[in-house]
Amino acid sequence: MTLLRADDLSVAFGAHQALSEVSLSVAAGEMVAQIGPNGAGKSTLFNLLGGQLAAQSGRITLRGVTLAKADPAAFCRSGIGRIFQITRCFASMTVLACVQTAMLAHHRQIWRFLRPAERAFRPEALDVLARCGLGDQAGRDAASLAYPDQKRLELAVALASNPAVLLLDEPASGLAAPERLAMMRLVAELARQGIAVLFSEHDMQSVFGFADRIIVLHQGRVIATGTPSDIRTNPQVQDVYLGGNQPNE
Amino acid sequence: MSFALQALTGLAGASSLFLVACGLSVIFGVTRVVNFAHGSLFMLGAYLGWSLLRLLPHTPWGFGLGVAGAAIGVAAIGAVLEMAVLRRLYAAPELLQLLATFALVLIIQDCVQAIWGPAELSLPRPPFLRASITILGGRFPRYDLWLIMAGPLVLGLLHLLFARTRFGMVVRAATENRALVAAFGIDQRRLFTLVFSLGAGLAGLGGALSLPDGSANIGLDLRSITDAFVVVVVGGMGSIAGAYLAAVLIGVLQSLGLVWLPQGSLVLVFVIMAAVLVIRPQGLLGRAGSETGQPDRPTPMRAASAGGRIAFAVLVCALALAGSLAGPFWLAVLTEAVIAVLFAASLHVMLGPGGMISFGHAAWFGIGAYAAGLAATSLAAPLPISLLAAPVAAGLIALLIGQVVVRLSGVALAMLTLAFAQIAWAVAVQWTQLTGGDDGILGIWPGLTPRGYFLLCLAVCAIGTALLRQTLFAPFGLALRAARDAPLRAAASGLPIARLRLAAFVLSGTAAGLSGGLSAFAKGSVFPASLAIDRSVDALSMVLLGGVQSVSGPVIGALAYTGLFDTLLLASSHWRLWLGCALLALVLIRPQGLAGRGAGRAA
Repeated sequence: MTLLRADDLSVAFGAHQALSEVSLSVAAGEMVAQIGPNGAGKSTLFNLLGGQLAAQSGRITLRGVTLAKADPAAFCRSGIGRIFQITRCFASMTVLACVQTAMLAHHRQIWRFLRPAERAFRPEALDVLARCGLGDQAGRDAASLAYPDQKRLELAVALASNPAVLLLDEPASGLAAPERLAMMRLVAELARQGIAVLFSEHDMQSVFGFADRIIVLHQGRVIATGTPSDIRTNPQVQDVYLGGNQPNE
Repeated sequence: MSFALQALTGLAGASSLFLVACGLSVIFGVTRVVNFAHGSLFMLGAYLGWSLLRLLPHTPWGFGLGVAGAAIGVAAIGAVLEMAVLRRLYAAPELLQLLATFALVLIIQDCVQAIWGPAELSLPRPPFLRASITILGGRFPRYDLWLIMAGPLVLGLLHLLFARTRFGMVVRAATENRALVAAFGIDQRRLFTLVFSLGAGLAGLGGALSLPDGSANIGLDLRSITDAFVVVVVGGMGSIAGAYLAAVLIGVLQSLGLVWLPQGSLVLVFVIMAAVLVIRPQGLLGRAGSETGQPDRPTPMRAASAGGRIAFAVLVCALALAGSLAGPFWLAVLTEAVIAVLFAASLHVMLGPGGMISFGHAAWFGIGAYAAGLAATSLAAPLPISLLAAPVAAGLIALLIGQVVVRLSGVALAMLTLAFAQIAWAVAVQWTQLTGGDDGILGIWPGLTPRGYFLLCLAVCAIGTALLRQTLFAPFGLALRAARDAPLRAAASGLPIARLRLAAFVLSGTAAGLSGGLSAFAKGSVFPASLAIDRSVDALSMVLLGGVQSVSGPVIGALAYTGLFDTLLLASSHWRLWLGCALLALVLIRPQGLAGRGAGRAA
């Protein structure tokens, strides 16, 4: 079942056409990777799908419902969760409170002024942290986490909103090989539980090892989509990545 | 007077505005420091100009020489200030920079007063400046024509300096990307000193040129800095052409406004500012993102432990006991201190968890004070109703103003709050039918003994402060902090950032209004001073003294500051100087505040 659909998304920054008529779909339980050289438009596409940026034309639908206005909070409420390439946890809080805050937002309970939030959704938040491998870090200051754990926390905060779709902009960037594998396994597990995952990743082993389908972006256009084996043998993709003709990068 | 003449007068005013603002913009563009003392440099220019022009021959050449001398003198003072103070602050959070430069404002004020005395100094206009000419059937002062030309002239010279000289090229490069300039091996220290000195010189020039139309007086500094802030924010921070455009827009509209709605001319400025900022938060010619300076890095904040609660309870009991024993003087000091605690705690909500720097918090205090005072005197309302009127009035106005304020961030937000407070102050001074103007509102008595009223204040402030702190650890407080810590992440988790900030702004204004209402009854009177800029800085100093990121900070800061203040005021006629030095020392030596975390120690 297709959850997230994008049709003909285009966006330009001044004279620079960042994305041209990009279409894609992600189904429940599916892991779709988007790859492409730096500057291909991967992060821009995430920003459109996450509501951080407004497309100049095109349409985004979730479960057939159009998300008309680019508003990250509204996108989140309709079921799109995302993590950012640069981790951004809530630096003044404990790990647990970060997840609790996202849960409070999800359950629309942020307009409560008096009762301490300490116990709000505590078991649920601890559960999410445990799923992300942070069960033993709940009481630490979020800002003091090691980098791989910050990446996990970012994922836990995204999961706290109980998303149907996860947009993961380089979830494993900057991680050493074993940690990268652990992170990708975690993501695969989430997909198995029915979440639609769209991710980007520079490490081709992760992409070809975990993606069900791959979308290749180049200069803001989709130049190929298909299964990992389709993509591996696609001559145009080889051109872009292996050199024949690399205008920009 | 005809429309065209009024517009010409506006253009002359625009030149003065531009001269104050362009130096501020140049300094901010390169150093990212908002120089609160810029108005003081302007004032120094006026005083230096006065001294020089009195000695020099009253000829056009003498006048030019005197003005140039004043500008050079102020540039030299600027260079010294940069090397002594500002140089140490470039990496500090913008809030501390603002506070340190405000300390300079206090110090310069006292020094000027010591040198030139408190009296207003005006310059008898030399004959060649007295003439006026006939334009469009009306008489127009010739000096104003000169002024009209001075603005574009300075704009052109600055443009040549920045476009054609090597120094200008380096300055422009530094405005774009400071790290890059350092990487090219340019001596950043010298560059910053030169830029600051240039900006100071421009302020001095403006001050000296303002003499023939006005006078050198002690109030010039704060008046001109407010103008400069408005112009720079509207024009776009760091953009000189933007500053001129904004100066013309404001100068002309203000001058025409004087004719059309004389009462509303000040409000008009705020409306222009708000309108521009709603449409273009970065100002007319500013670039997106240019309005933010050095961000404050959020640090962990934890709920008070059981020990903290007990300490708070013990403190309240100790204050109650002290109030029962104190004589009339100390009772008044204690009443002021507990009111200050609520005031500081209200600012802390905005400043700490809200991440919004308010440089005009006195506005809410003053609005509360006037609301309570008016309710008690004009409406003869009983004490509880009058006290209720204070937070309600402040909260409602905060709700209105907040719609604009929360769209901004960083320094631009700080300046907008300051501009609003200054306008509220001006309204309090000018709307004499309602506020009594400078005479204030007198005879606001609570109908309780001073001791009884102290206990009431203590109860209200203790409960109010405790409730404010409670909200910081309630779901609302977490959401607010999330929005400050990582706005992108918070929005992606479904948090409505603008509404959260607005709620914090209103909450903060409401609580400050309540403290203002309490203060009106404590003093028995309300004066425009209750919303003057000094009051805003009191609040900031208290919060910073205690530590922005510590929850106990505002309480400790307010008590320490009130104590410090009363000691200084008693001990010395130069309290501004001492207070300024104390603030500077605080910022330079213990920026995390008295209650702030040192190295990993819990707050």
